[in-house]
Amino acid sequence: MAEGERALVPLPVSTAGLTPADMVGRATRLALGAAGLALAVLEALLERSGPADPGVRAGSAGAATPSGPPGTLRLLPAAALGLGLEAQRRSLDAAAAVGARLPSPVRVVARPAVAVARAPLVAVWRRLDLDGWAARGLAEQRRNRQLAAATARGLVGAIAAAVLDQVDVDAVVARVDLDRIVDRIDLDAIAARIDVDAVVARVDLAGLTEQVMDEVDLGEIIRESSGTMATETVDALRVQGMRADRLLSRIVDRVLQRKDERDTTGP
Amino acid sequence: MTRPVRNPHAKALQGHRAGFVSRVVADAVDLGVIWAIGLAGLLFAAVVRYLLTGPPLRTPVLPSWLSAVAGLTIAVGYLASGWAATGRTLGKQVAGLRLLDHAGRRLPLRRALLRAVLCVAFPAGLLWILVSRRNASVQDLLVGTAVIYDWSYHPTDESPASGEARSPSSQPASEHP
Repeated sequence: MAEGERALVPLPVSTAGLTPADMVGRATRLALGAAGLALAVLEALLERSGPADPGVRAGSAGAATPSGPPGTLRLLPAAALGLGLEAQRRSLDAAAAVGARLPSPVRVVARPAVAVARAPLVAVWRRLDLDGWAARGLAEQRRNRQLAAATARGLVGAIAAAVLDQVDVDAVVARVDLDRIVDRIDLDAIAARIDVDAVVARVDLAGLTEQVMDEVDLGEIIRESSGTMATETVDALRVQGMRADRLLSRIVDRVLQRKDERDTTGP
Repeated sequence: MTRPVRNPHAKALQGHRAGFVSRVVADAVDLGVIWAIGLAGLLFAAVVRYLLTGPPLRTPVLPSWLSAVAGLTIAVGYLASGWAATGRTLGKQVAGLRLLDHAGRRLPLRRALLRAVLCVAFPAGLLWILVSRRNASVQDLLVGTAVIYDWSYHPTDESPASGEARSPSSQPASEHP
């Protein structure tokens, strides 16, 4: 279990500085994680569509929650996975170790041979501890899924960003015929669904009226209007007086047979 | 606070000497005001006497000579105070008139008193406006005053002749009968 926990440490996402062996391991993990995710999706679909084999369901539950007891059916593939991955890693390590001490052509030939030879030896050395290999396999599988999910998320994000960069949102909006959309909206139907009585019931008409009356200075309006009326009356009286002055002056001047206009210029 | 004159006819005549009808209207209003002041005086005397001697409440009946003297005194005081203070009494305010001297200033109190006495003693002098070429009454000729159309408001520290609605020309009053 100690090796399984060590394997749960998140892998670096960056591929910079990876050796060919690391890249092979990473590709294997990604493929296995993607396969695990696809299997989980398939199981979820099967569970949703109808009752499934109890053994399979128990196995899937064990895969989802490592703390639960894994099913026997699930145990074998998991153990095989763990064993295979361990064998692969050790093979790669051995090949790298041997290859480092051999000249380059020999290294190429010896690497697969050493890998093939080391795997059975390790398996014998482990004495086929099925539970341990199963737990290790499940942990590796979970790690692979996490890696695949993280890679998928990053990939989806990058694709989405690239797509959005290519999309001219303004052009898309410009192509939308808003008038046509608005024409399709039946405002009468929407208005008919509004409960006006309920809206009115929520309005504090008394308070609103009081607030409006507070804002309106009725006395000032009455004073202003009455003052305006008085002003207009006085102005009319004054204008009539002016015209009467002029008329009377002309009559008198005509009686007196004056030809010149009066000089009424003031001081 | 000066209210603009909107009527074009009235606006053109602002600052010109007023005619007979406007001044008679103003004097009629002033006569009513003088009568109201006299009546208020009688009522005040009745209340005072009621408070001092008790009922009945009735206005005192003055001798005719005393009534005449009191009426003339009220008229002179009312007219002179109005002309000296603002250049207009209540009647001239209603008619939109203002009394000025030949320089376009308000009358000093002495000249206002003299004109008020002349107006009260010889009200028929107003008839000279009908034949005067410059719409001057006998009192205007004697005291050297002019009654003009002036609807605008002038504060007490402002010369009425500086009003915008007034005609800028200023000529001495000369009679051409």
